[in-house]
Order: sequence, then structure tokens, then C-alpha cells
Amino acid sequence: MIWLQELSRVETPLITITAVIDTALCVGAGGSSASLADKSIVRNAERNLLIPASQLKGRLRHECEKIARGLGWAISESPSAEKMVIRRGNAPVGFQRSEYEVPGYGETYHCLISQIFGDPVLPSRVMFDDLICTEDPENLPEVLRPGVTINRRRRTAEEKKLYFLETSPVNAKLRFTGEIHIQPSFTLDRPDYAKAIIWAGLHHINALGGSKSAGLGWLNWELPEIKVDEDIWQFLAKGGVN
Amino acid sequence: MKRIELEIKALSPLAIARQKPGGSVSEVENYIPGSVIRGAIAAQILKESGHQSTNLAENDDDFQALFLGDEPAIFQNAYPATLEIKGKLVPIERMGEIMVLPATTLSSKTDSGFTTQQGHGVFDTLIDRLCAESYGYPYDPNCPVDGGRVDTVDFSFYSKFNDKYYKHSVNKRLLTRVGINRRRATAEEQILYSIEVLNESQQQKEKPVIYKSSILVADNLADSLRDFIDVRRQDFRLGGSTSRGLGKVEIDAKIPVDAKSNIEDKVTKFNKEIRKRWDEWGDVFGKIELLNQTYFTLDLQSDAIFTEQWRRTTVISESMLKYFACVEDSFLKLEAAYSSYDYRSGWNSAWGLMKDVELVTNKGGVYLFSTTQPDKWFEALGNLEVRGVGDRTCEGFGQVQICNEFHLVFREEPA
Repeated sequence: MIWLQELSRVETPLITITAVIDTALCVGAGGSSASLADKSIVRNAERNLLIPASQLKGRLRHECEKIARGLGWAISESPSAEKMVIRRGNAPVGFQRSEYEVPGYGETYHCLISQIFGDPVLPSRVMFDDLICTEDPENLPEVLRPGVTINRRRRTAEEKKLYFLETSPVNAKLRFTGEIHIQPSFTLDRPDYAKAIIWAGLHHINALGGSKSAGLGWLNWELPEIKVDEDIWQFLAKGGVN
Repeated sequence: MKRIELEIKALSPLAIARQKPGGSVSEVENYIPGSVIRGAIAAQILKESGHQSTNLAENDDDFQALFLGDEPAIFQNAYPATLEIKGKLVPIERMGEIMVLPATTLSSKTDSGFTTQQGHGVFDTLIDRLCAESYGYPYDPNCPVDGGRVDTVDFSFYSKFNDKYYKHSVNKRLLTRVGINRRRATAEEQILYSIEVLNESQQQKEKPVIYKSSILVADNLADSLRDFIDVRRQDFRLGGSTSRGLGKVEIDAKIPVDAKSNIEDKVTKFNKEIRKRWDEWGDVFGKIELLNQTYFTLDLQSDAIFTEQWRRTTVISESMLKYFACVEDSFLKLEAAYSSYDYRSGWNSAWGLMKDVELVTNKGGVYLFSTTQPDKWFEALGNLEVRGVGDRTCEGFGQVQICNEFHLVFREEPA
């Protein structure tokens, strides 16, 4: 029986995270042609610079997958939808374990990371917001960074390889802030490891956006302190024990 | 029934898909359908009650009364309500209702739009068409400003502020996303996609994007539903891709008020204008006596799903209207119908399946009826305005308005 007045609001823990960009940031907006740059920067409707939630989510998932795999857990292969759905009938041995069973999803196994970030069958239990630059866009000039490819033989500029990237201002210590909402676990009988693994994953992200290897998008995180219970570490450490 | 008004402020882009991705671009609606709001609220209730996978149809509780009963709550579509005049935002509470332009309205083909917004004006042709056809003359209007060609208007939503008409529209943009192959750190094959989204406003910004909607609900549930929404005003996410930063909204639910409508005044005013106009046509083309009939219109304020004899239709026939309104009237006559059609589907997350593809009659459709027994109809039409017509009215389909006052805007004085 469901009575509206008896329902109590499930508090979704709000975790505010801030990325402080140490260099210039270049998150390209696909299909955009409003600027002179070959790769223009992505902005929201208010013209604020932002790091899209989809990028943060994808990148964080990748880091969390690496950590979990390192701990010996079998992890499904994202982002390919077909490879992420593990049917119980033909599941690889590594996936056939009770930790990968989710109530209400009797036909499929879901790896530890899919139980947080979702897969084509299971909805995501974490909601990400875009990380939005808190600086007024009026104060941020458009920065175009020219680049040119060098012909290796002649050591001169290669023909037709001059390009312009739009970036955020260099060394401006821009702060990009957003929130992560972590909803309750699907499996209440197991320790909720989501927060711990997301924290660990965030610390592995040192750069975001394009041209990371060329020095763009390097950042520091400002994260609130969290406390992780011992039983969560114990649970995560069981990865290799099947 | 009580009406709970909702003001929905978009805090992040909204991906309200018009068609599910079959191609690589998913288009966006230019409003928030009632079914999306209904789904978000139902999902929230189920999540909090922990009944996500149980059969709820047999329980006699609030959820059943709101969503599954014989008279479920009606979640109307949310239409864009942000209006800026001379750089200043009009407070929502001072603005009139957001309405849908009737299909009979026309505007200049080259300078379409209301006179308040640099257009050549918008005018309605329903009454003039009725007169012209009755007098046996073709009706072929032109632009009242430059005599040019006229066409149907390319926008739908409008409101009245200080007795002047203003158009409401939304801005859209295209987000392009790509999946990254984890091994090669390059774009993954076949995971490039674009999502069209409705633009957002951020908190504390001067130009919020607000949508207005209503929920019509039984008297005994109105207060508890309003409190439920009000406490969780930022917990709802609407549309698709909600875990990736889209669909974040803040819903402001107003205090419930009685959902009543005074039909008789509107019908009387409409008929007075028809008679006046009839006489003016008579002065030019020689008088014909107008039969002693009362006219009224049904103006679709949202898409509607109609079925007659098990077959889909886009016209409300006399028998259908009598059935909808539960009125017996052998003198009811359908004088004119102006409507077009489209197809709608959607995603039902409770089933985990796509909804059936339905043939819908587009919003803005106009049906002109006449009767010699108007007294039978006033109350019934008032109920129709509240409950809607056709199928799936609880999801916002089939909202109607009786005798939309835009029909009284003529070519000589376009709005």
C-alpha cells in the first residue's frame, strides 16, 4: 500500500566536486561552428564554460573499472552496449558470482561498476551534473591556440596542417563545480562501495578534455572528505576470491 | 477536481525525445509532455515506497487513485512560459494562461508573427470562413499590412499580457557525444550520436527557462500530492540521459485551487460576435437569415487520440462529442473541422518497453459545432475542459478549450 503522506523523502547524498584547471582546458563541442577555431570549446546556454557530465561520467567509469579490475574483479567491457550485457546463460566464469546478482534482474549479471554506472539493462544509480565554470563568461576572453604539424623530414610546417583550438584562458585557475548524486544501492545487504570507489577514481583523473598529452586540461580536485568503513575495504578486497 | 499549477524551471538541458533514436540524431519536442511529468512523479513515488517490482493495480491506495484508477490524475503538458518584453522578464504570475494557437489562424507568409513582436499580425479565420461559405463566396484573405500572401503560423504557443498577444517559444541546441574506445583512447566505432536538447537556465541567472503545467487531481489527494512535489522540488529529472547531466529541473507546485470553468459567458460572447460578423457580411452580399442556433468550438490545447468505431480518426464527430460529454442532443451538428495528424510513441520505463505508435490529432485543431439546445451543453462542456477528450487524457492528451477567444481576432485588427 502506498500513501503519499507516509512516504519519507530519500535523501540522495549530494557531493559537490570542484575541478581547478591548472593549465588551459579544451573540451571540444562537436558540430559547433560559431567561432574561428577548428575545434571550438563547449558552452552551455548561458555561455558558461563547462565540462559535460557525460565526459566526467565516462572518464570516471573508466578509472573505476581500472581500479576494480586491479582488485581482481571481472568487469564488463564498456562502452560497447553488446559487450556490457552479461546473460546468465553464457556468462564467463569470472562473472558467475553472487556479488554480480541484482534483485529484479534475474537473467543478467552486473559487474560492480555496472551496478554504479548502469548498463543497457540496469539504470545508473549515480547522477552527474555538468561541471560549470563559476567565472562570469563576460570576464573570459576567447583564447585561440594555433598549432601546426611539423614535417619530420624537412622540419618545417606541413602543408594544410595549421589548426586553431579554442581553449579556456591559460593558468587562470578556473574552477568548475558540479554535483554527483549517489542513489541508494540496489543490493542493501552488501556494503555500499560506490562512494569509496568514485573517490578513488576521481583521484586518478589528472586531466580532462582534449590534447591532454600536449599539456591541456590538467587539473586538481577539491573534494569533501569522506570516511570509508572497514567493511567496504574488506568487500572490495575480495575481488580475486571467487 | 482540483488544479495544482506547476512551474518547471529547467536547470540543465532537457532531452525530451520526439522519436527514439533510430538515426543518429534524436529530435526534441518543444514542450514537456504530460506523460513525462507523470512518469517522473510515478517513478519517484515507487522509488521511495520500495514497490518498484510489485503489482500495484489491486491495492486501494494513493498510487492506485493517482495513476491506475478509473479517474486518474491528469498531467497536462508543460508549455514554455518565459516572456521577455523590451529586455525585461514578465513575472509568471502576471502572465495569462499559455495557450495553443488555433489551426484556423493565419499570418503573413513573409513577416509572420504578432504585431507586438515585429510581425504583420496574426488573425483568425474561423468565423469569416463560416460566413463566407454560408453566403456562397470563396474566402481568400491576404495580409492586412501589405496585401501579401498569408500562411499558417509557424509557432504554437502564445499568451495574453496587458491585452496584447505574445508568442512563446523555446531555444534548442545540438549536443554531440562520442564513446571512447578504452584501449585505443580514440572514438569508438558507431558510438557517435547527437542529442537535440531544450536550452536551460542555471540557478541564480537572470533569464530562467520556465514551463507551465497543471495537474488535475481528485479533491482528497490534491494537498498530499502538492506537498509531495513541493518537498522534492529538485529531485525530479525529466526526459532522457538523466544520469549524464540532462533533465535536471526544479518544480514549484502551487496551492491547489478548484478546477472550474465558466463556459456560458464564453459561448455567449462567441455567438454575439458571429451574429455581428454575419450581419456585416450580409451588408455586402445581401442578407441571409442566420438560423437560431448556438455555435461553440472545441480547440485542442494538446495532441489528442481519437477513435471512432475502433478506427483512428482526427475529427470529433457529433456522436463522439455526445459520448464524451454524456449529452443526448439530436440537433447537434458539426459545422467545420480543421485538424491535422502526426504519430507519437514514447518509452514506458515501468514496462521497460516502447509505447505503441499512436496516430494523434495535432494540437491547435478546431471543431465548430452548432446546436439548438445550448442549455444542455454548458455544464458538460465545462467538464470536458477539465477532463479532456479522447484516449490517454491522464497523460496530457486531448486537452480542450471551448470557444478560444482568439477566434474573435479578425483580419481588420490582427493581434
